[in-house]
Amino acid sequence: MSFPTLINTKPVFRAYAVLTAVLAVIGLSGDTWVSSLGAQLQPAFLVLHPTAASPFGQYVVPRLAGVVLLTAALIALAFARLEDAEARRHSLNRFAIAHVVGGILFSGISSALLTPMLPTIIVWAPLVVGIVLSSFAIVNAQAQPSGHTSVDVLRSRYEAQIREAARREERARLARVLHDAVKQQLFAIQTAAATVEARLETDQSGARAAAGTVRASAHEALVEMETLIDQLQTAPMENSGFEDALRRQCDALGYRTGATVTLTIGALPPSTALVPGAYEALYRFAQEALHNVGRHARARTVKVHFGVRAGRLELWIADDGAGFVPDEAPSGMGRRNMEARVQELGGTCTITSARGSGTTVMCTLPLGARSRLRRVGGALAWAAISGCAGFLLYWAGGVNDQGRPAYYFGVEFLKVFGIAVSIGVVLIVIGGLVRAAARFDARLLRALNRHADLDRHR
Amino acid sequence: MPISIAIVDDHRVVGRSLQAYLESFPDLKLVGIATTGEEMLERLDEWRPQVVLQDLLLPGGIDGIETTQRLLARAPDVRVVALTASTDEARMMGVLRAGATGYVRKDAEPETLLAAVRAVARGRTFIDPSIGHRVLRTDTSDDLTPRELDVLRHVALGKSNKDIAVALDIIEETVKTHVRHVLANLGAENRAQAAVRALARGVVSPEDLAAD
Repeated sequence: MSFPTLINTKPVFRAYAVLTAVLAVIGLSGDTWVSSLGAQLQPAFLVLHPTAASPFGQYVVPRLAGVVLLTAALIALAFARLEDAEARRHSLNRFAIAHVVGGILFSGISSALLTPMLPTIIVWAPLVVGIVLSSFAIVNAQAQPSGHTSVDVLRSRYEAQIREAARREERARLARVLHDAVKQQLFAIQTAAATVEARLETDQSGARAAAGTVRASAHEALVEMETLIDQLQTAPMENSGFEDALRRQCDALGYRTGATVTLTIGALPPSTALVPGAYEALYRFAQEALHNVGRHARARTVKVHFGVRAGRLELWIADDGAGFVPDEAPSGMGRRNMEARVQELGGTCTITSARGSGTTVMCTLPLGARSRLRRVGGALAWAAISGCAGFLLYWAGGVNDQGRPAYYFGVEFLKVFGIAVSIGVVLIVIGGLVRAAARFDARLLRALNRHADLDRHR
Repeated sequence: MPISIAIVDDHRVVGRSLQAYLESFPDLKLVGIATTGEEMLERLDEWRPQVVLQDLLLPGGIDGIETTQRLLARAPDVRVVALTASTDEARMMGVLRAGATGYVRKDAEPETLLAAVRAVARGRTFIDPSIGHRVLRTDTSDDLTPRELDVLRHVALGKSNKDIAVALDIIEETVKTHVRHVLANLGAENRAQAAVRALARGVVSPEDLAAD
């Protein structure tokens, strides 16, 4: 048994939006050359709505119809932007029902109440559109009878499986860190404590040295625990959080392997210049790379650098360890995941290594996806476009029956509008100041913490 | 004369704290710490340890099992105690097959390690009693005679053939025959593996091992 294919609802919504938008422009434009149809409809509505005093001018009916059509066009456009096909199909169903119900009401009211009658095509148009949309909805419903799994259901199951695999992988990684690092450190603490006991009576300086080992190992275990907690953290990371987490990772690697790990941080991008999730991806990348250094490299020195260079955010980790031949090494799930995550964000990953000459892994992410300048520019462009559109309407709208421009809303309206705009500007300025103050505060706090840290370790 | 010990462990802190601990006892002497299996093999002639504490998971080059194999191939008199944080049974049987006569987990008390070092230096077998809780009662086959079970119990406790002969009041030659049968029946290649099998059968309990 074969099922009819699913209709893609995206072009349906798009076509609907374009058609209604064109009709809306015709309606809204009053008595210009495109509006002869709108002008013809006018007498029918005079019965219901005397328009002499209307601020919309004498073409109130086509203009109101234009507003309704424009709203419908925008709603359809919003539905067309839904990426989830399942949700889009549900939206089409509801959209169709709304048209059928609204269409019945409209055609009933207009044929019963309006004299002279509206043209037949206008009276029935909404209902016909509703029926056409419903037929699409019915075809889609048949293409996906209950019990049959659609492509979308399969895909969402597949995605759920991938998520589950990622969760398992994460658990395995945590177990590895607990085993490779924390367990060893606790064993060292236990042994050193036993040493203190064994030497307490006979060898005081030896006992004191062992107590020092207990303390140092406990500190190292704490740093390692910190990195584990970082990994479990779900809150999105910002510049400062990322920096601290990366530093802890580097410290932990140094403690674990005895290698000298240096972290240098270059110019940092404004957080708005990065796509969402960029820091998480970078952190996972660093974590995987540092973990591999600890497990396989036997490095003496490890250099980690993070910063902006040539318009891209760069993170590289270079060690002087054993190295490997990248084509021969099995590409583990951890490495594949970390590469996929970076590539999803438009970044690149490269691994440079040869046996005996260390390994360098580098990851770059594009910047300026949404820089502040571009966002302000975009907003200004939108303002300019809507201003032009408003002026066009004003110019094309003609005058109403009191001799005023058709879209003249009165001086009061302009006052209220002006006050609203000023309040908005003030709020934006205050918000900006508060954010800047908070950033300064955070930076100060971090600097203080670092100094306190240095003091503690001196 | 103190027992000379070498440590092979890639974890810096573990090596250092073990050194400090073992050197607290006058009958033990630490001769070297290696962070890789290769380093241990390189320094073998220089250090001449009686006992090697061998970590099983070593990053990069050869692992603990292979190090043990090569070590014993070159110096059969060395006693190897596997010291590991892993609880993987296959790996445990692997290192015992390679010839280690001691097995201690890193969650054991330091005194257990001490006991293991002293036991293997005397030529006995030492299996960490706490692994009994993991391998316990996984094997319920019943193909040993009561006398063979007695022998197995003594083998698991790390006794030598002579000790067993005295304890069971039989001649040493008979003990040897029993041990051969027991090993063959259990599919064990040596006494250390037989001790693990004994734990799995419940012939000895972890408490018995700990009490010794």
